[in-house]
Amino acid sequence: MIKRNLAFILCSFIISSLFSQKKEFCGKIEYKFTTNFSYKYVENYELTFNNKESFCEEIDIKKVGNNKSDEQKEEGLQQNFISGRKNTTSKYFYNNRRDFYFRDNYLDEVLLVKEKPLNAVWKLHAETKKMSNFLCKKATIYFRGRNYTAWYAPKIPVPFGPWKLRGLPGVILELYDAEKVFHVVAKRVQLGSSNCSINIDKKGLEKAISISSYLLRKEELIDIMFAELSAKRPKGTKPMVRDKDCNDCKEEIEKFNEGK
Amino acid sequence: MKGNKFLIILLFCCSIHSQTIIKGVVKDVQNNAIPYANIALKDSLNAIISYTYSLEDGNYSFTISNKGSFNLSFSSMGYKVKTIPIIIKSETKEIIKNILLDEDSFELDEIIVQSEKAIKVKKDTIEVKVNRFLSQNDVTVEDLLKKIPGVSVDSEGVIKIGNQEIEKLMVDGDDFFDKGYKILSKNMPPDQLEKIQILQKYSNNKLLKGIEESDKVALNLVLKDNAKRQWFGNISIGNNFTAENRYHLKSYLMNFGKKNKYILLSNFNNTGYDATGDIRHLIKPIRFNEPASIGDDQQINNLINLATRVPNFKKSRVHFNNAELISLNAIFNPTKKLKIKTLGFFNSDERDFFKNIINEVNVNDANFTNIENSKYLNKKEIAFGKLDLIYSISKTKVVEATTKYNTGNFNDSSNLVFNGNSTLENLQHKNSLLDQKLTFTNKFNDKNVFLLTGRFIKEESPQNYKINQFFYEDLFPASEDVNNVTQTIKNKMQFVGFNAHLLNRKENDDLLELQIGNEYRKDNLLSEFNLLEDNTVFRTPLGYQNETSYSVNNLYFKTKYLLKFNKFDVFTMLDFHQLSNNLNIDNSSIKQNPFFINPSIGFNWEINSNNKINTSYSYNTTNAKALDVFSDFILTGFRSFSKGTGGFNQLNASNLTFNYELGNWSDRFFANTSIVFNKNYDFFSSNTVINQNFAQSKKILIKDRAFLQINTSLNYYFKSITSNLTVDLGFVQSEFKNIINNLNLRTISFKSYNYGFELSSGFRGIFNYDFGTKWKANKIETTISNSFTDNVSYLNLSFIFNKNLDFQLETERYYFGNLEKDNTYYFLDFSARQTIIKNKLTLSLSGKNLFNTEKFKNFSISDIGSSTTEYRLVPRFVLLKLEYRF
Repeated sequence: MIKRNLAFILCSFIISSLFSQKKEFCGKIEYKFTTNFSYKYVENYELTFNNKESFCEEIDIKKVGNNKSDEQKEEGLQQNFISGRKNTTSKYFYNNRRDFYFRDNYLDEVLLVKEKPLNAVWKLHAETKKMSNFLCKKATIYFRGRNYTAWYAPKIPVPFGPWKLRGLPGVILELYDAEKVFHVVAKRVQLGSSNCSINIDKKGLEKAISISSYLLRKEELIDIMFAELSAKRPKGTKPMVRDKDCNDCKEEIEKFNEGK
Repeated sequence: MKGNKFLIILLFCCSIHSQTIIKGVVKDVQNNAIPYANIALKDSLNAIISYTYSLEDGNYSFTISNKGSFNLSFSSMGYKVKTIPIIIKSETKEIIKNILLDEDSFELDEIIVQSEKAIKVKKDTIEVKVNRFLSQNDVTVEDLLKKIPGVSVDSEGVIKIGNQEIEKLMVDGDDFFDKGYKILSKNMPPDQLEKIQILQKYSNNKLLKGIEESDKVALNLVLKDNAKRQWFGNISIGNNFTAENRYHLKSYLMNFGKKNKYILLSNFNNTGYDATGDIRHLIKPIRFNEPASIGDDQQINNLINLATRVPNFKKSRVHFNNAELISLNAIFNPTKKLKIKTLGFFNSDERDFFKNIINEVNVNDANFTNIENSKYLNKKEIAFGKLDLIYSISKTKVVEATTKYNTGNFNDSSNLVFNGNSTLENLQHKNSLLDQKLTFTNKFNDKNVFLLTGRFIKEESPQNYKINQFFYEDLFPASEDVNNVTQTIKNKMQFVGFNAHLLNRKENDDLLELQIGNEYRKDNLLSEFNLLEDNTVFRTPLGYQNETSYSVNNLYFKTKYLLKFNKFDVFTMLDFHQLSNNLNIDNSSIKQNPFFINPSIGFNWEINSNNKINTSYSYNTTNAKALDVFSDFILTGFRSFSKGTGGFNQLNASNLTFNYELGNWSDRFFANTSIVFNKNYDFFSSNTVINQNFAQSKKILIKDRAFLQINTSLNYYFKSITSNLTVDLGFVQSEFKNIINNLNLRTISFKSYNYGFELSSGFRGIFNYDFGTKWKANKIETTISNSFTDNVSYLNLSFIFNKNLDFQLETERYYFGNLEKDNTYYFLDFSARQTIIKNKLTLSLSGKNLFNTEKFKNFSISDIGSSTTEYRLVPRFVLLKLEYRF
């Protein structure tokens, strides 16, 4: 009996001492990213966060094979090709409150980039809406050429979000731009104190490139791809020359040359 | 610089006076600082006015300019929220609030958050309001489309939704141009548009949407209700400013209102351009394998044709033409339910064509050489009218009636020197066609569509053929006085058909199609061949006169099932045909009632992203056609007679296709191999009696013919030279049998190899090239053996200086292995384009046949010998063209 009690006391002591250790509270939120330019394009991300940092990583990545389809046309058979994704290295957004990094997978090349500080200021609105059990508040911001609306949950008081927009008095559960080409929404929220270690190679972050080199590299990658496509043009057709000023090639969520 | 800093600090200091600083430390009950706690200032309505997060040491501070009563709320994950009221008065400069937060029994929460979709996509249709995107600089619809998310327009004007080119660009659901939509997008002003609809999984019959297999996309421009009518269009004028006077004039004039729409097209040219190509899709739209396409393949094939085949290079090089085309196209919408479409055009063309042939015949006992030097002049006049009435009974029921009328007058003549004999051939022929079709579509629920189609076609195509020489003394003895011959043909066809078609899309996306129908076709073929002495008929020889009537009634039931698995599609088809054939030759008739089943099966299998297979097999029985059954000879050319079998026949065949794809088009390496194998268990061959002055060919039924074709193409992209290499390899083998001069059946084996490569660059600069060469080796073996190897090479250079100026140079080289001299030909063409006013005025210069090659000789082989053909070419010309949009 005494022994048992002792064991109990010992146990509870250990436990309480564990408790008196700083508890790491954390959460996981799954998001659905929908991009709607030429195609409606859906990606899934999982945000892991604690008080200090957040890490939102692409999940359920599927290798998308290149797609070819034939169409019977007046002039003959037309073939359509859609280029897929072979490199399944995940994209992510990492925020340690001081710095912000993101990893992109652009035309199958992995690019780790150090993001600039978010200079734009959120405008907080009184509007609220309920997302499941979370009462969310509305905030708006202008960021890289688009006006965004975010719905954040003050009940989860961390300044994180699934994407680059951040710094609200609550985690962002839904985010979209005014033209509705980009939409992010939470699908599942888990809060707890275990199983949310953030696995990121922090040393590797030192190799991150700047936004300007990122943009330059992207341009290069498009040029390389264009050259390859042009070289594969059907016989007797004019070479394709990339028109960098064309209207439809500005189909990007972030317009880096407009706004901050 | 220093001054500036000072000024900023000063401003900052001063502004601080009207503001209040709220600051403090956030700690837990053990007096440990809580980093990154959220501190929010809320008004009485709980709206957040301002907020901050505590630092690593728990300290926080933020500045407020609002005054009044507020709540200050402290929260951090793992702690209970603490809210304290504060009052900020105008004189308050600083509020210090140190807070202890209690730990929260932190619960594990797991919630699926529900949310409505922010992007609203109507099923398969996306609507875009135009005024959101329209700006003053937009001159054409194309400019507007470029700005719409999801729509892209490339430099050639090709419109794509995503990566797929649109099927058509419609105005208020009306389609004028089909794939030639650029005429519309590049000319129509956008300001009368209300909205643009992007139609995905587009079906030509709107009620088949979602049921029919479709991956097509289309755009529909919806005009404003009060859209003002305005005329717009373009005109292009080209001239070479030399004595030969090559010209090109083309204009489009359009006027669109909500109710009525008009398009007027004209094209006049003598540069070899086929103007009817611009409206071919309107005359005879190709609805490949689409429901309600019954009767589309019913037509008369003419027996005599003086417009000969052109060699395998650009037709415009050998056609000396003079074409005129005017077309008026109108659409009326008198009520919301009724749509009336009319199309009318008139086309006239005069086409000259020069050809010299040396035919070497070398078979059995027939050994001779024929020399034919001919100058053809083909004249035609075609008038065409089409009326469509589309009436929507309800949202799910549509009736569509189409009436077409075509009349053509053709006058073809050839000035022929045959082995030194000057000969005139003349062929006058007409074509008249009346075609009526009625379709009723009922989509009786989401997954089922029922179509009922009826069609009536009547076509007549009389031909009168005259030759002012008599070459057939050997066939018709005792005819010394004959000095010319005539052949008249009256060919008539009537078709009546109806078809009931049910399409049923299953829940799991499988598709079931059932069809039942009856098609009746009757052909009348009357032919008369006369030997004349001047204008008097000397003899109407027996065995050369046809009076044939052939009718086929085909009662059928067709089933098709498309089964879809994840990476595997299977289709099976089973067609049942009960035929009733009736052949009447010279008033004695015979009947036959064959029954047959045509099964086929095929599958597409995507093994993985790098390996794809599709293959199909079918067994077909086909019934003999009208031109297979006539019993007496008809003169079909100046030295050829032919006749059919005089009886019924069904031909059986198996077809196998196989295609394998390794890698993908966008990979650095990809390859594609296709194999086609046909086995004819019975086929029509010929028994030909060959004589120097004539050949008489009789259709005979022979067993077993095989055809094999294998093609492989390999692609590799060389990064180092930014160029793509394509290697093509092909092999064709066929074996068939025929009879020459009533001797034994002989087997003919034909083999052809082709191999070549192409290299094209994708440079980013001004200059690009593409280069290729291809060899073709043919061999025919029978009682004689013939073979040759040809080579064709090309080199194209392209210079795109900027958006407004580009230049293309095209060279071609042809080499004919079997010609002893004149066996190599070079061609050089160029084109240059300069935009003078964007979207308004373009100047272009094009030069054809710059080496001024006058003749082109090629060589071909057959089972009876070989022939060398020489074509006269359109001489060098340079055309200056001005295109203006208004």
